[in-house]
Amino acid sequence: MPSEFTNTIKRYSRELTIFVVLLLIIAVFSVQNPMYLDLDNLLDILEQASINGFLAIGVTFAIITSGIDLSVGSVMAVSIVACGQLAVLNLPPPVVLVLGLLLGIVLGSLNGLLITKMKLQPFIATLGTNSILRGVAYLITGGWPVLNIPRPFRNLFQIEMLPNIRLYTVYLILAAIVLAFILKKTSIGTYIYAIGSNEEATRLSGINVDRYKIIAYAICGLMAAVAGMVMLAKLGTGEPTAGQGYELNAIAAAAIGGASLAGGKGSILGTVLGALTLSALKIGLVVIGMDTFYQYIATGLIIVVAAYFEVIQAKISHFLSRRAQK
Amino acid sequence: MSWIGKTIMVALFAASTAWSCGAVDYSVNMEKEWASTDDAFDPLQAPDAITFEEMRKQFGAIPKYSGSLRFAGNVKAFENVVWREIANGYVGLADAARMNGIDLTVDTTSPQGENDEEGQLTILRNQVRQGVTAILLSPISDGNCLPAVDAAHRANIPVFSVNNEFDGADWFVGPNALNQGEIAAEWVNEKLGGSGKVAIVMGMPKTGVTRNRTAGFEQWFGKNGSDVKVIAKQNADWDRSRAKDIAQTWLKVHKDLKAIFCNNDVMALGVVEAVKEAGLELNKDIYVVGCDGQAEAYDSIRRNEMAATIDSFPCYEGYMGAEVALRAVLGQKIPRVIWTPCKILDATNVNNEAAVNVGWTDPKFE
Repeated sequence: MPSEFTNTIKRYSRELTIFVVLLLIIAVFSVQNPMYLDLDNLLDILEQASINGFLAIGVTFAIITSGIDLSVGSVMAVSIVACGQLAVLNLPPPVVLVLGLLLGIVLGSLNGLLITKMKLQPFIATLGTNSILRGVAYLITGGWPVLNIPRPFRNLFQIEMLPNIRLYTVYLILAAIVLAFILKKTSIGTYIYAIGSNEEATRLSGINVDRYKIIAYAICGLMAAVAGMVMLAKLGTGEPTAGQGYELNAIAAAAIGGASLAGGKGSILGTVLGALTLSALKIGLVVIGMDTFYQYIATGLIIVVAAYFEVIQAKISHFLSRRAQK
Repeated sequence: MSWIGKTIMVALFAASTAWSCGAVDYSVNMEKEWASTDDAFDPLQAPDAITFEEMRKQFGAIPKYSGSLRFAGNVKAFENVVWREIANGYVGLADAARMNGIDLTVDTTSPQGENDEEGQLTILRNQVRQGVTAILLSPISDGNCLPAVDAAHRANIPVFSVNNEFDGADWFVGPNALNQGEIAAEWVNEKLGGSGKVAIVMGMPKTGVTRNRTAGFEQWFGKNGSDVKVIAKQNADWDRSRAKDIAQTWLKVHKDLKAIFCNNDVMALGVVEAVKEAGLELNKDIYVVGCDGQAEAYDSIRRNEMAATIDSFPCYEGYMGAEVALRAVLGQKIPRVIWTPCKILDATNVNNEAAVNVGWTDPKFE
């Protein structure tokens, strides 16, 4: 009886759950204020999820290896001020973009090296680099914001492809597809999952664990740098204070999407849905004019509820398989 | 940041060396009962509050003093330009005092950002231990520095609250945040011709500044019989990107929004980006008003983007804070609350020099 269809449903049960939660949120807010259902507003959910989306996709890689990256907000800030400084020098925007991406890879790899070569716990290592890189961001500009980011650089991210769909949302979708492919269809992804499930076994089977961990953190840094450039383009000003506390939103999106801090679990689709859920919630509370304080409560509730759904699902499938055996 | 950091390090090192030698006594006997952190202090309720200008008129020249004085400045976060400006103001007064024969130095320190509440308390404890004449304190939250304020009082060191009030402050020097909101409301009301829908982007709720600027703005319309309605308010935690996101949603849901008042300039600048993206014309379809008077806001007003900012002239505010402290420790019976000036800056006066807008004159010394 277990057809291909039910297998697919089982495999994507977490993503389906969170998708239903997302639809529920949209339904609830639309009932309260029909304007929420405007295409314009629904596209805003995607647009306002993009910065957190980039961060969360990156963090998902770290989490799958059973690690964590608390430094993404600061990597973002360094990318913002560094790319901002380069952009105001009127370097060609693609050059700034490439340098920004390299910067992200370097900073992410630095985290990876601390974790693998110096054997630091990911939580501690990235807590340290979070503070160090925040300081670096301040030092780059002496604490001042970089003003008047030139149009050409901003256009690289900001141009509207279709009404209300900006280039950076397209980048987010592209990044999600490419990274989901890497995670599910390539050996890099297979090893990253394997490391998260059982690092020792992976090591014993002759796989260079350190290399793949560093790759995971490098991808995380890369995504944080992209998030920084998106913010720089969106706001037209680069502040070294930007991105404080954003790591927690990113981790929340990944957790809602089914990434497990125990490692070995998580998907890009789930994380993107998690980011969309948070964004839908945030916009919804603004649309109906609810006090921001409830946003914190609602976010927390969704994390807890989404996690509990999984526990229930596990129980049900366990129960069903026991009955099938009888 | 770097040069400030270095200066502070050098200053602290020099100070600690001097202190460990025990060469100089900076204390001044003020024969005053210190304020208690057990009593709630709200500058807005102070019966004898006067403006800085009135204070200068009332008390005349700054008295002579032959000993050595040292003030310790303790501000929220040097990352924020406002606090660097305030610290510059402290130095400005100290320089003026030295030129007029009073040996006064001010060393200013800040914790690591506006979330480092414990760090600020530690800094304050150290400043108390160093035995300074007076402390100029701008705490991150209403309560994070209170234990060390008591310690300062036990060591006979007066604590001056600059810009941000707290219980146990012996004096408060700073702008009237409620009044800032009112000034903004009055300006918006005039621009809208007395009716229309407006919204407020608020800062972090943990400070009185957020509450008072918001309340002052909201209440003004009702008190003055205006038909302007505040239809939405949201908290953006002083964050530019969050403010932009909120405004983006508002502009779609409330198509007839005529003005957005933000609790600070950074958030107003974020809102401006949202308005531009929504294809609305700034200063025609909608007005964006900020608070603080940051350089970036000045530029924005000059470009006809932000409509106005309520400037509290942080550099002069710092100068005034230090001047009030100097007068008080030299024995003048200064009232507990001194309001520093704020003014709305729009396209008409943004190009004036700050000294002109503030109506500044240098202090007189005996």
